[in-house]
Amino acid sequence: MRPRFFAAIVVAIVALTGSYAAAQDKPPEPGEGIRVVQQKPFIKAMRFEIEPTFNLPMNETVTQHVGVGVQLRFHIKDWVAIGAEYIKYFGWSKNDADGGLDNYVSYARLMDFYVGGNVSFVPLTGKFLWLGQYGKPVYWDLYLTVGGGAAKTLFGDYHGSGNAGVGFRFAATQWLTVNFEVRDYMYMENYALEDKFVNNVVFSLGLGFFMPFKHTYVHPK
Amino acid sequence: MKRIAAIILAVVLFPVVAVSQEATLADAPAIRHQKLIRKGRHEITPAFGVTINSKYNTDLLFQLSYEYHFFDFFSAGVEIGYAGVGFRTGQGKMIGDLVDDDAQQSTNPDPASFGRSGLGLLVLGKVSFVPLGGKIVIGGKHLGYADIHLTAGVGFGTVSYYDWDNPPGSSALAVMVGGGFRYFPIELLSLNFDVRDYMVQRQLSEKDESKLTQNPTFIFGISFFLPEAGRGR
Repeated sequence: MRPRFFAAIVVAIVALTGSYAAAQDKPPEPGEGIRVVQQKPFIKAMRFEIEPTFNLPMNETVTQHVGVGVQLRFHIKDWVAIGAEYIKYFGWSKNDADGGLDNYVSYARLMDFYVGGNVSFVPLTGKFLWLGQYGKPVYWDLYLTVGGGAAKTLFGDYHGSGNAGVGFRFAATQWLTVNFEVRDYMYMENYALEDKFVNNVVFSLGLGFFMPFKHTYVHPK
Repeated sequence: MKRIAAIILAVVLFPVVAVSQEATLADAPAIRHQKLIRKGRHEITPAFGVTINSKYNTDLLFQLSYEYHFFDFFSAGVEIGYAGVGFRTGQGKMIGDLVDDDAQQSTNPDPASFGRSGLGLLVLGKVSFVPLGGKIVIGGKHLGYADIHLTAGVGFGTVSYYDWDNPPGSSALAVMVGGGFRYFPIELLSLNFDVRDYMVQRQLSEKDESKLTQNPTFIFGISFFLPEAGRGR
C-alpha cells in the first residue's frame, strides 16, 4: 500500500512540474525566432553614404597640403558602390633650407581641388572584437576604389585625373562608419620646362553617414 | 523504491540544468571557442620596408624582429633593421644631377656640394598593443584571422651619409611609433602590413640643421608564430 501511495505522489509531482515547465516554455509560433539564414548586422546595399573627409597628401617634398572634402556613395550591393567626390586643398611651401625651391626645383605647384567620380568594390569583410575578445563585434570591410575626374592646380589648368586606392570601413553603428583610405590621384601637370606625371598619394579619414539610418529585412511570408 | 527516487531526482534536477544552461548562454562570449591566436606565443618576423615621403633619399629597410605575446592584446620584443641602402628621390636626383653638371656649377656654385643622409642600423625595444582582433571573410567564406595593432619602441640608430665630405657623428637616438594590419591565413604565420615612423636625430643634408627627422616607412613582413594557438572560453 505504501509504495502505491508514494508512486501517486511522484506522478503528481511530475505532472505539476511538467505543466509548470510547459507554461514557462510556450512553444514559438511557426517560423518565429528561427532564422535559417543568419542576418547580417550591417547592410550597405541600396543605401546612401555621405562621408565628410579630412585629406593629407603623403608624398610631398617641397610643398605640403591638407584637404577637406566630401564623398557621396550609393551602395548598389553590399560589395559594389558608385560615388562622387570633391576635395579642396590648402597648401604651402615647406621649409626651404637647401634653397632647392629657389635654385633647382621647377616641379612644385600648389593644388587647388579635385572633383570626380568613382566605383568601389568590397572583396573582404570581417569582424573584430576589442582587445581580440571583449565587447560587441565591430564589423569592417576592405574596399578597392578606382575613379576619374578633374584636378585643378593653382595658377595651372584643369587636368584629367585618374585614381586608384584602398580603404578600411569600420561600422560603429548601423548608420555610422569610420573610414580610412589611401588613394593615388594621378594627373599630368604642365610645368614651365616640361610636362610631368604627378602621383598625389592621399590619406583620407572620414565618417560615413548611411541613409536610410537602418536597414530593414524583408522576411519571406 | 530506488527507481522511484531516481525519477524524482531527474524530475527535480531537469529544470535546474535547463536554467543553468540558459544562464551560460546569456554569459557566452561573442565568439565561442575562440582561438587565442597570439596569447602565449612567440613571433619571429623577417620584414622588408621602404621609407615614404623622403626628401632626398629613399631608404630600403631589412629587418628581423622577435616578440612574445603575454596576452592576446599585448606583446613586447626587439627588432634589428638595416636601412643603409637606398636611392635618391626625384628631388635628390634633380639636385644631384645639377651638382654633377660642370656647366651648372660654373653658373651656380651653391649646389657644388650635396651631402645627404639616410637611415642606417636601427635597434629598438618595442611593445605592441592589439585594440581590435577577429576574423576575416571573403565571399561568405572564413579566410582566417586578422588584427589591427599599434606599436611603439625606443632604441638607437645610425645615420648613413652620401656624398658628404666630413659627416657628423653617426649614432643617434631612435624612437618608433606605428600601426598595421596582420592577417593569419593559417595559425602558424601571418602577413603583416605596417606603417611606422622611425624618428632619428640627424641632418638631412649638409645645408640642414640637425633635428629629429621623421621617416615614415611602409613595412611588409611575414611572422612565424610558435607554439600552437590556445583557445578562449
